[in-house]
Amino acid sequence: MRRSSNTNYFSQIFVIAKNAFREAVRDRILYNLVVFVLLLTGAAIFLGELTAGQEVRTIINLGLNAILLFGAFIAIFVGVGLVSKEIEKRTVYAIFAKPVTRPQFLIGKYLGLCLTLLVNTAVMGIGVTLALLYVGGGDRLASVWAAVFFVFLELCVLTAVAITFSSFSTPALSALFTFFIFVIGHFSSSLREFAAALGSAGAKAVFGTIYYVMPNLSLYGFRTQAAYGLLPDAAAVAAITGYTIVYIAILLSIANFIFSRRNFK
Amino acid sequence: MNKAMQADRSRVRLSGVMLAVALLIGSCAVYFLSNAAEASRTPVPGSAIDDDLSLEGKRLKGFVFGAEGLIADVYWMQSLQYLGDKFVNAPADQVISLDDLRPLNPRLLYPYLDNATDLDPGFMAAYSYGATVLPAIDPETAIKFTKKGIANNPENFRLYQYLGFIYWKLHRYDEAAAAYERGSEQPDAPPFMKAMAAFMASNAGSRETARAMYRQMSDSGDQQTRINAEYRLNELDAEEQMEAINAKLANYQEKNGSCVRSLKDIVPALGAVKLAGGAQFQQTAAGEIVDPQLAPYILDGSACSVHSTSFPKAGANK
Amino acid sequence: MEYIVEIQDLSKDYETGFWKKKNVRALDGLSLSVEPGQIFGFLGGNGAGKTTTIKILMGLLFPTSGTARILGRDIADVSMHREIGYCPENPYFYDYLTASELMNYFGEIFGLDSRRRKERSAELLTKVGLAEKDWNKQLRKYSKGMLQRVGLAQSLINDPKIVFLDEPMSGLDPMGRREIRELIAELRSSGTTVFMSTHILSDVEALCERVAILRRGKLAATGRLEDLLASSEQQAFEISVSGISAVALSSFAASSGAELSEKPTGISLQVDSESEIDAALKAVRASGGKLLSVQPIRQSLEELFVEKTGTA
Ligand SMILES: Nc1ncnc2c1ncn2[C@@H]1O[C@H](COP(=O)(O)OP(=O)(O)O)[C@@H](O)[C@H]1O
Ligand SMILES: [Mg+2]
Repeated sequence: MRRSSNTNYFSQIFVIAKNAFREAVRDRILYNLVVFVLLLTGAAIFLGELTAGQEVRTIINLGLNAILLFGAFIAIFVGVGLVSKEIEKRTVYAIFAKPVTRPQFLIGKYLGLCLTLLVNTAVMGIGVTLALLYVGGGDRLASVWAAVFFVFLELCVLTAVAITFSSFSTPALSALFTFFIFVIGHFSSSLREFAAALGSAGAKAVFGTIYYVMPNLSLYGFRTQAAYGLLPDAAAVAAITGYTIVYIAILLSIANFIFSRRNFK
Repeated sequence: MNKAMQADRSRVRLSGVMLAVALLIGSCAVYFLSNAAEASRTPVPGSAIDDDLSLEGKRLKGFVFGAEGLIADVYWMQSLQYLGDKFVNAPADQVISLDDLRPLNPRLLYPYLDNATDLDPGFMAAYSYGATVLPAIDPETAIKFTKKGIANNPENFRLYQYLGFIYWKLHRYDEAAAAYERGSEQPDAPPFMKAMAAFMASNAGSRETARAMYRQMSDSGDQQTRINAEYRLNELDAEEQMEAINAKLANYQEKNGSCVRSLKDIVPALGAVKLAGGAQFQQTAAGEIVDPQLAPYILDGSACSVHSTSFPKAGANK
Repeated sequence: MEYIVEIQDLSKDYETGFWKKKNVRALDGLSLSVEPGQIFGFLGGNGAGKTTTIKILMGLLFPTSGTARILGRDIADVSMHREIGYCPENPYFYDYLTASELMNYFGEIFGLDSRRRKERSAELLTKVGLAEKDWNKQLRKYSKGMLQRVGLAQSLINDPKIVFLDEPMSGLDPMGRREIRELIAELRSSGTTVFMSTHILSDVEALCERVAILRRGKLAATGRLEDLLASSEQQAFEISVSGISAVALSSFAASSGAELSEKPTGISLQVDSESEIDAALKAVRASGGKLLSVQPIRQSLEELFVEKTGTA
């Protein structure tokens, strides 16, 4: 498909992304923030009792892991419905009769959910920040925001996985597959080490392949380090960001290849 | 019309080729970036293992939707993991004896076990593990911990057995005898509890008592306790064997005025020795005399005695 | 550019069945041309392939074979969509948006500036007969007929040169149908070409200059409506009578071949041509019945339709 006109190619993506964000807001997806804030407030109040004066690191651990889990939930369940829901409800009919190409639509929807996740993650990050200030952990804020950034990158990858699966599979199966990838993606690094320790060439080859093909989600795990007030070095941030962008680009190319060939019956 | 169709088809083919090219370039980029990111990872500090985090988990009791057992399990696993990591991470030249774990500074072991048994007061594996390793860290804590187990499970004779064991190791034989005595009164107590009470009164310091003690430990308890007990039984065997060897070495020196060149010289003499339970000395194909873990005994010519690499503490203790 | 829509030898197979792939041929070698500046009726019974054709034209389905051009450009060329409009069959839109938000969103996609979007939205929503109080209601609260109106409004947001309407009258009440009929007529007079699929014959008669009749995915007939009707000139009439029983007219019916039936208000007598009316009226008077009305029956298009499609 040819693009409608170069000047408008990105503005149309932007319009679609904006609408996808509005959809998420109207579908009350950001309500999960309320749950998160309650969780964090409760934690800030009670953790002092439970952790023998370790509430700073506990709030960091709890907060960051909750940001990831809440976000992963949204990325998976909203991500798989992003495109398939529009096909099922036939809302795509009117869209594609307008000067919108399929890649534009796909990327727009994707960016819309990323924007939703960005807002969600940022608000949660602010929540953790406030809780930390409350318990006197202000010196860890830089680490916490570094970890929040990594969590956001991970969620963007996860969303791309979800949208890729949903470009050729049913929403329920896509959610299941994406969840598997989420789990395996966190294990693949350890699995490879495990295989290397076992020493069998076959195992090494299999796990090495899995390691490079699956998204290496353990790279984004900076949550434990953040609790120790560590900071990633610039090289790490650059490498991980680069990895994320390339990985997402690959996934979206595949999704687009499939989506552009779909008949909307 | 056909021209248009061909154009359409060639467009499909073109985008397929483009995808393949993009995938190829992308895969290379992913490969390098993945390696770069992996290499620049920030490690978690090594001291993380000794963090006091979550030592107050017992306060969760009643607030975890009935998952107390599960959390107790987590604490239990943490306690095993914790000591295991300490062993693994100890400096290579550090000699660690099961009788004294203090050099490892395992200060969180008791809190872990305490949490586990607070959350699940009937957690026998935790009590048995505690009774085996805590004496090597702080005997009073070990006694307190086992008494807590008895308070929670007064009818379980095992806990009295553990308490008796701890007192015995401390050479507090009266208290050991009392513990065995009370244990023998419990409903399911086997006859050996009574026997142990008697041993404590008459013959507490003997190797036979020790053997009986560890054999019972190895028959009961969890896997970790059994491994420890079996090690102890082997150690006792080694001790007995080394005593016998040293006696024969002394004999030889008395007769010939000098120590033997090689242990092989006293092999015939050792053949006549009756070890406990009618056991025999073990030999390798090359004729070397080996300890219960099949490592050859080492002859120390100047002192004219042997020691064992597998059981460095055996003999030195007694 | 002579034709605004040119369809050449278009075929479409739907794949059905999960394991055993079975192909259902929905469209079979359809060729069709539409001239600009007219209302083109795309007729056919249920399942004839109307929706399939329009979806292929909109790029929603890919044809199994054949090509089509709109405004002289291949249907794969999305830039052509700047100048066309489309209202799907039983349209459905983002239900979390209000009607004016939806219009605004589609306006943005066309790159209209915000003032123009507001103007256009108000103008079109009024034109399709949506009450202003409903403009800011979420579409999930809209009835089928209201959605149909929104669908029409959004298809016109970009002042298209040609608009494709798939059964635009379905779901509308009689008032609504009249309003939309007027709107379509207005579009034509402002120079917009209308390509509408329908099976409602009165709408076709009222609006369309040219029609194509589709039967099981194949073109059964196409041409000016008048020409198609001229081939079946016969015009039937219905004569309604009261005050007598059907038996009284049965001998006349038997001899003339008129169709006799009982109605709640009396008796209905159908004759096949104008020339038979006199004889029928005589028979009615002779039997002492009271004449209620004599009406022409719009049967010709229906007959044409039945003849061409094989369904009523
Ligand atoms: N998604 C689909 N899968 C399989 N067959 C379909 C599908 N959509 C339509 N068809 C079949 O294609 C034929 C044409 O359908 P359609 O174009 O919707 O007809 P119309 O709009 O004229 O009522 C029908 O036989 C219908 O059963
Ligand atoms: Mg239809």
